[in-house]
Amino acid sequence: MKIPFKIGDLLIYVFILLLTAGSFAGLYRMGAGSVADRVTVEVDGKLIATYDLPKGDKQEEVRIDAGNGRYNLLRLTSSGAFVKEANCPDQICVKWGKITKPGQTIVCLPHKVVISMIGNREEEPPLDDIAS
Amino acid sequence: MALLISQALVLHYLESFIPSLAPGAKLGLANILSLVALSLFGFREAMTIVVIRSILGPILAGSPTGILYSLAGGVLSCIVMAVLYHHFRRYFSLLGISVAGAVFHNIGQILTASLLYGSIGILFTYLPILMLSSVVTGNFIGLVSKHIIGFLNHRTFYEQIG
Repeated sequence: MKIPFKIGDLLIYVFILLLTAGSFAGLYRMGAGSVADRVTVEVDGKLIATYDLPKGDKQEEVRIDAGNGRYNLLRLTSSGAFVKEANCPDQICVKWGKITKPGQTIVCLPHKVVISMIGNREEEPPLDDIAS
Repeated sequence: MALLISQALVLHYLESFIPSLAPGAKLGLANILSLVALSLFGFREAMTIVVIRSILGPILAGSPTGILYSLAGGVLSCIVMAVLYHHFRRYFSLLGISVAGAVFHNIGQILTASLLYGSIGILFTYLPILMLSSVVTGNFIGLVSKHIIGFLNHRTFYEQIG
């Protein structure tokens, strides 16, 4: 079967590569210099909650209520967050898997839920004042 | 025309039952009709099909929230494919045009989601895998379209529509 390939096609593929590289670069810049330790949950564009990632082996589960009986079960681990289960029709959020770096997001479009990983940019915790 | 529109709708609807391998990566079967219409009829007809399909399709499939994304992606994709097809056909193969269409369809959709939720992180997170799926599905859709166009071109117009 003859597969036609013309010069313009190359342009398209280069464009795709640029977009992909740009996305990785963008994600890297968003997360550079910070450690992933918190997750924000937005429903319908409004910030509902921010959760700290648990430390060690602990796992936490949060039920995101998207209204009208719709939900997403958010699982938080020390390495990242993922949607364990949801009752949305396309299940993209569940299939997506875990997000681990600041800047990454999980989106559930039918439920209008956006889960974003954010990190702190502070290198060290501020020193406590020592009362003299 | 109505035949093409209904075919596009049916494909869109049926496709919603196919589980996707990668998150958000659909086969985009209805785009076969867009490309065929573009080739056989022209931009206006193709755009009409895309708009109607984008509005009615998500309603039929049971998720009306999808209308906005379908429209954004579909319209952008149609414009890009039309420009490539009518002005630059010398340089692009039909498969390539299909891939470009798939790419911009996905860009349109994910850009809409990012703008709607004010998070550029959405764009960055989902773009790479969508680009990969655009290449795969674009080539597949292009191949199917190519064969359909070739087949239809060999028969008289009235045989097809009548």
